[in-house]
Amino acid sequence: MTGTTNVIFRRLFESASRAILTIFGVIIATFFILHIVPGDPVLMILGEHASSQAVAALRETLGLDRSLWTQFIAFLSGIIQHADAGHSLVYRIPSSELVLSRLPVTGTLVLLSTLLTVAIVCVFAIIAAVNEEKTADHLIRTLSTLGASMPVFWVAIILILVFSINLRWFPVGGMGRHGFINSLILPAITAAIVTAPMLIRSLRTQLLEVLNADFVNMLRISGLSTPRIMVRHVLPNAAIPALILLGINISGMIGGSIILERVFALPGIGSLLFDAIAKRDFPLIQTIALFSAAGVVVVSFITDITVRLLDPRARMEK
Amino acid sequence: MTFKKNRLNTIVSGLLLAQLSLFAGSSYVQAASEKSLIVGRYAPVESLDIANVFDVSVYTADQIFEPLYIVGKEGKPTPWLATSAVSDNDGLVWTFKLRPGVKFSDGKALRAEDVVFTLERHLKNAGGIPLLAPITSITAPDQNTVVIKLKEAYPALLSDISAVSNGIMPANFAGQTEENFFRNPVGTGPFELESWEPGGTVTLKKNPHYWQSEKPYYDELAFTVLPDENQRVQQLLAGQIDVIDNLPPVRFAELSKNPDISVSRSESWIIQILQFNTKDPHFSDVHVRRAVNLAIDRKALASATSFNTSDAATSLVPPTVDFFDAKISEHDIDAAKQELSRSAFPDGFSTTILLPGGDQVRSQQAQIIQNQLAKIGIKVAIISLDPAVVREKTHAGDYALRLQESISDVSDPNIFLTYHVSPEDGGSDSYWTFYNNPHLTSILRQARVEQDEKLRGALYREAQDIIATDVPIIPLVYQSRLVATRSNLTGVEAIPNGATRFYSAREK
Repeated sequence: MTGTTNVIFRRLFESASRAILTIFGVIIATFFILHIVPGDPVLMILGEHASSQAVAALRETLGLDRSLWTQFIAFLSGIIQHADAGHSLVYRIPSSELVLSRLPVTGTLVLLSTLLTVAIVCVFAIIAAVNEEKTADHLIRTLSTLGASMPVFWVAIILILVFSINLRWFPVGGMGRHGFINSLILPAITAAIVTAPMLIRSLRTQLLEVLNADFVNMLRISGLSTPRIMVRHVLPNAAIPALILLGINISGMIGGSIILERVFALPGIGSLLFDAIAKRDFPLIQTIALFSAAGVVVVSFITDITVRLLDPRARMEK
Repeated sequence: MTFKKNRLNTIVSGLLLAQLSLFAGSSYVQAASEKSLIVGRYAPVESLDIANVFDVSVYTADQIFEPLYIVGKEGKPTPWLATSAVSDNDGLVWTFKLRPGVKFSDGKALRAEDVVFTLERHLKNAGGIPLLAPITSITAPDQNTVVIKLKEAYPALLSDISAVSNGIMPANFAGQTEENFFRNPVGTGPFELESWEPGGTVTLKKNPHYWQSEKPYYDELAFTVLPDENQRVQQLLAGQIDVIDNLPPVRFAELSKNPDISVSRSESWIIQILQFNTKDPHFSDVHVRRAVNLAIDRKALASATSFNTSDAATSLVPPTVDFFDAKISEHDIDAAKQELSRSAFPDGFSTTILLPGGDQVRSQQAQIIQNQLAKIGIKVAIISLDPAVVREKTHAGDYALRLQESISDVSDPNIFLTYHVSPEDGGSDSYWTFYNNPHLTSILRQARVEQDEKLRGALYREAQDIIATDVPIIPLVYQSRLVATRSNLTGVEAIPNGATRFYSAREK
């Protein structure tokens, strides 16, 4: 067992150093890309008629008159010393405070869509697998091709039309006169519809492979109940490729929330990022990039660990 | 396979059913609180420092802070926190009498020193809509009187004082730091701040000390951020919001047929314009600018892009602003060709038109202009960029033609014209057209101080003549204010300067 523990620790260390490198890369890339892209935050704050004196004065106040290198050093030391990428240029409060205030919406949305995706994927993949080449299987495969080919915003608009405008089951969008979770259900379904199809296909293929394996036959002969075989033995063995895909897709959702939150008018991190980019609010954009990089790293870390726990081969690998 | 599929199928279908009924169970029930009014806006509030902000921010802060005189429904300066303003014969000393019984939302009475503090701060700050009046001193001889002394006569004083930026705040920010004060502002307006999610919803609550008794009728007024136009309209239809105070024109006809929604169309001081960079090699030539002016069919452009909700513009001054004088130059392709033949580019040339990406109205305008200028040999390439980039390029003079919208904040044309065509006095190089006509500047300077209304009118007519001849900017469309509300709502006032007032809003 000690050998296994060692391997896990080494894996952890490797993952952690990779995570730090990734986040560092994101910090450098966002900083320089933002400053190369045209557009001036000062002009966005001061408006159309801002005189050049007013522009110069505000630029000095915000420290944007310093050389790019000085700004970068200040930015880095802010992150290392205070874990803070600076005050938002527009709102003049710590960027991290702004991002944290939006985290519940985006976090819940990602969590909800993930749970929904997992549920949909398991159910449909199992139905398809046990009904191989029958109507249900064909139907699910066709539907999943359809789902995979629909763009997020389009699915969102269709769902809003049907469930919010015609049926009035859910709010059209936003977070106004209705519950928190209520506002997130439709966006989460949208995300799940777009994410699930690929995973269903992957899981179905793997399930078929495992269902036909000798050990399943053996388990059946030894008298284990069908659901027990399915849940305890078949699913864990078949789930690994789908799980890796799911991890990638969750990371995608963190970035993709910008479209989803805009279409559903949700006050999450995605819509904050949209506004921040429009106004060239550099510190805020950098903070959001940092948070999402951290999110992606955490998700891939969890995926990594889960895969290792499920797969004895990966666990033992030296 | 001998696998017991049927049993598994039962389990799975059961799960699926449970899943479905879970969603059905959480059906969305409309639970509108009757005392709160929700307004859908396209952008978030950035700051409530009324003297230093624009657009959505200023039209939210003006629910909290009120000026001495206010822009009335018809656009005229109307006594508000002051009941009267009298000037001496030379127009150099103005005496304002404050309205008795006005209180701030913290219960303290409005005093003359609050007015002095506010206006002096705004003079020093010069952000937002700057106070351009040549003020030498603002004093408070007694608690209810404010005296403003001027260096020279300035007939537009009352009009300028009525600009939203001049909302009155308590002296010395009621003892708070400036930063804290604007996060927790205190004003005399119908509403006070309840909560504010930066970048998101701003919620105001009724000011219990409001000087107009019984008003406002709503306990709560919330401004929610809905950048997507479709989302905004759908939420109104679903009853999630009550008011859209800048309805996209494309939705006007459709919503006016809906019995649940009332729409209104009113005058505004917003004008859509085509700016020339007069430093551009082509557009530095006045004949080219005139040719472009003649080639554009403004009536067609206005009705097509506003879906018949707005009229073609006939002067840079909006029609409900004082001294408006229509300078109609009819659309005439032959005259345009003739004019172009007098220029250095008789056979036409290629140029570009700059506009912000994602703006449907301006993108349609650009296509119409592209089409019409092609008829006189000017090939226009449409460049649609991120708004931040458009602004940077414009300020740097890195453009040829630009589509923009401009708004007069007050009923007097002084500030508006100065901004657009007087390079030094306006502070923005004639609104980044870099147009400079010293004669026009001197006329505007005379008009600014002229006390005789008739003479002043004559000067502004001459100024509008010169602008129509020199064409540094082509006025395209006088944009109407389109407001949509739930039909059970009444009393929402749309003001020509872009403000919307809710103090009289109530349910029918």
